[in-house]
Amino acid sequence: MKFKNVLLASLPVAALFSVSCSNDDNNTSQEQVFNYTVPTTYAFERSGESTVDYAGQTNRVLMLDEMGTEIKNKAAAGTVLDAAKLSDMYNNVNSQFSNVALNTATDKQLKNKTAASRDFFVNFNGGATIAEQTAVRNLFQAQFDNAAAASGGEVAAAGVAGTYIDGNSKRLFAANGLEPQQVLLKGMMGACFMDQIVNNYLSKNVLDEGSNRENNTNKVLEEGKNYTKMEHLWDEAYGYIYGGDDLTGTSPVLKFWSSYIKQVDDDSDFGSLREDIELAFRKGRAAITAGDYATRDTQIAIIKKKIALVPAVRAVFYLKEGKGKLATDSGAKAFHALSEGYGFIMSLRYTNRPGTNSPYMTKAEVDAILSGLTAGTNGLWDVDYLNDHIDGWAEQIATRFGFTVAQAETVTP
Amino acid sequence: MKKILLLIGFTAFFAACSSDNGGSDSSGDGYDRTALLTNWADNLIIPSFENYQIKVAALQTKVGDFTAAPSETGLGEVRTAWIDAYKAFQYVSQYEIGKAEQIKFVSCTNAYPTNATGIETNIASGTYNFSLLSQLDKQGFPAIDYMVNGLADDDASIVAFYTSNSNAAGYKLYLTNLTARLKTNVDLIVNDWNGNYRAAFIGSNGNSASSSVNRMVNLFVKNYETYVRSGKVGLPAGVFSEGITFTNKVEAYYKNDISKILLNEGVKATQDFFNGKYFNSEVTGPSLKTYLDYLNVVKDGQRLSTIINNQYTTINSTNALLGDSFSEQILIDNGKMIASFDQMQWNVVYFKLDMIPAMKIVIDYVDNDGD
Repeated sequence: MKFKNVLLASLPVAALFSVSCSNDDNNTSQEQVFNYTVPTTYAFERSGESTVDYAGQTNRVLMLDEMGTEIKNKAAAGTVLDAAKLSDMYNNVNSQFSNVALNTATDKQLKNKTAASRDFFVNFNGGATIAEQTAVRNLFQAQFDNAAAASGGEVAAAGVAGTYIDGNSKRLFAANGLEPQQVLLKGMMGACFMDQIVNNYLSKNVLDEGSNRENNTNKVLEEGKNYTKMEHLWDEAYGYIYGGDDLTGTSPVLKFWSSYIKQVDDDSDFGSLREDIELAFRKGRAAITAGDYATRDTQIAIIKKKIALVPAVRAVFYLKEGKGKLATDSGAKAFHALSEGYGFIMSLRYTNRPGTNSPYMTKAEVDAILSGLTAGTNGLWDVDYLNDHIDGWAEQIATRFGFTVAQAETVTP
Repeated sequence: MKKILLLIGFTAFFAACSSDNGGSDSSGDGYDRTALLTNWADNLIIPSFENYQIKVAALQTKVGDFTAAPSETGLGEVRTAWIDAYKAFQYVSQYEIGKAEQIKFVSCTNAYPTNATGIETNIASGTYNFSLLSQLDKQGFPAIDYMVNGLADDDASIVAFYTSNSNAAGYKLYLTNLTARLKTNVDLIVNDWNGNYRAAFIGSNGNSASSSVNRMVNLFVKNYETYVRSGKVGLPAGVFSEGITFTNKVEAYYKNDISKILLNEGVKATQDFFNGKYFNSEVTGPSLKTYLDYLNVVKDGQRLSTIINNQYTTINSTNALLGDSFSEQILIDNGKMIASFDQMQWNVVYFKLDMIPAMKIVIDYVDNDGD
């Protein structure tokens, strides 16, 4: 694909130059000539060597994956789960991962990147604070304890943590019916990955910090690296979506956001979401390398807008799926879907509406839905309460993000 | 400079484009930086250092009395003088420029937690050079804290270190040397300001990275962010350690019940500087506040300077909820420490994202949290 910005190449040289002198901060593409190619895959080279590096993000994606597997395996085996092991994995201490490379990456951990973005948790946009950061990290820690309490084989019941046999799967439910594994996985996709992507690495406060822009324009590379700081920051955003994917096998493996982007994209109601996000990442990266910051900023807005749809659509999808199962097994059949929905609703708090540096849905709004989900007697076990309220929450989310509940609840090929 | 240079050959244009960050003497916005620097030097910086000098001299006198004839009464007088000097220090830590910068004034005056083991090693060996980097955590107010509050659990036992201890002479000498070091440093700084430095400081009235206003603004924000917000509250409260708290990393750990007093003084010093308030007076002069107002910086319909001062009010009321001992506060209800950190962070945001860009000043230190 050939990508060109507005071209003024035919104008007299001096006139062009005087325009570029006239404004020091908003020197947009309209005044400049760019002529660069957006590659067909996320592959960028300099001097014959790749300039792409998101190893730290791949590590964190795989860490979360292993934490989910740890809970899943203990549930399947009916054995006691060790909360301390999950806590170690969260902090990446004591070499608890089976993937040795993760243990070796001692400077990478999920916890210190949970609710830790520049725009929200340093610059306090979107109503964020360190108190909130502390609370959400504690919430994840609590999931480890909840999972441990539910493990060991006792049968889950209203007000009793334990195991529920869901078809071929065994799931651990906390006493209130929430599945700690899903709260962890989907919640962390928001509090860590989403937050880092849209509120940190795609933040101009980070991308343009210090002399980043000047260095990127002048191709000043990071010491011992083949990339500029800004190129790398962009890659780090990319890595939180695609860093865990493995496309080499016969059936491609997609992790977390990459997987759920595809699942939303599989619904024709949401058009070419997957292609749009992927293209925006490639286009933005090519623009950075070319020094075309206006195009970069356009791609940032596209990514922020489109990625925010994913947890919203999935939240509505799972709320409605759960509602349809409330009559089965005293409601327990619904809890997996509702727990997925719970985690995706948590994620909505970390979205970033372009141009506002605030989430599409405020923390207070998100918290109200979350506390509503478990407001009945014994939490999710109060199926009558949920049956009365789920449609309202689904409607609220869908409306805010600009789609309909009908579009999200049925996947239209 | 952010311009993209596409063409070559028009070097005249090139030069014209590249001068906005150079070493010009003019700030470009018309604000009288000379008056600002003069107010800072004459009404804030020099009086604050001179006050600190007096308090350090008083401490030195009390230490002299105590080491000449150690007693519990004398120990109490040293402690009082130490607290007075420690409070006075809070007003000068943001002025690490000129001679203070050369001698690493803040690092060799207030590095904590102090290194008790290293101090004991120094006392035992009797050979130490306080000007070495490796000695930074074995001197200053935190080291004196250990010497007068931390050697034992009760006053009689502390005094015994200076009387009956087999190396009582070594303890007395160390306390004497610690205090002398403080005095030497402040004398150097005050002499420099009252010598040539004042004129050099005021004369550097441009808008280059090395000019006085730019340097002071950076020092002011760095002091507020690093030494006040993080050092006094954030670090012990576990904000930078994934929730792991450190009751021993509070300021004045051995005394333990003055961390809040020192925090309050530290916050007040920064607010006074922001408002250009003369030291120990209600009079104000040219300041960051008047500079912002001159530039008419408004945020959400309100003057930024008002927002910042309102935030200081919130900070003070939030900090007032803390106990005198931060070590205890962390254990009893760390949430209050986090709340203080959060309120102080708001002014970091206003300083770094709103004030500094409005003054077209470049922040010369960067949070490094990449991976």
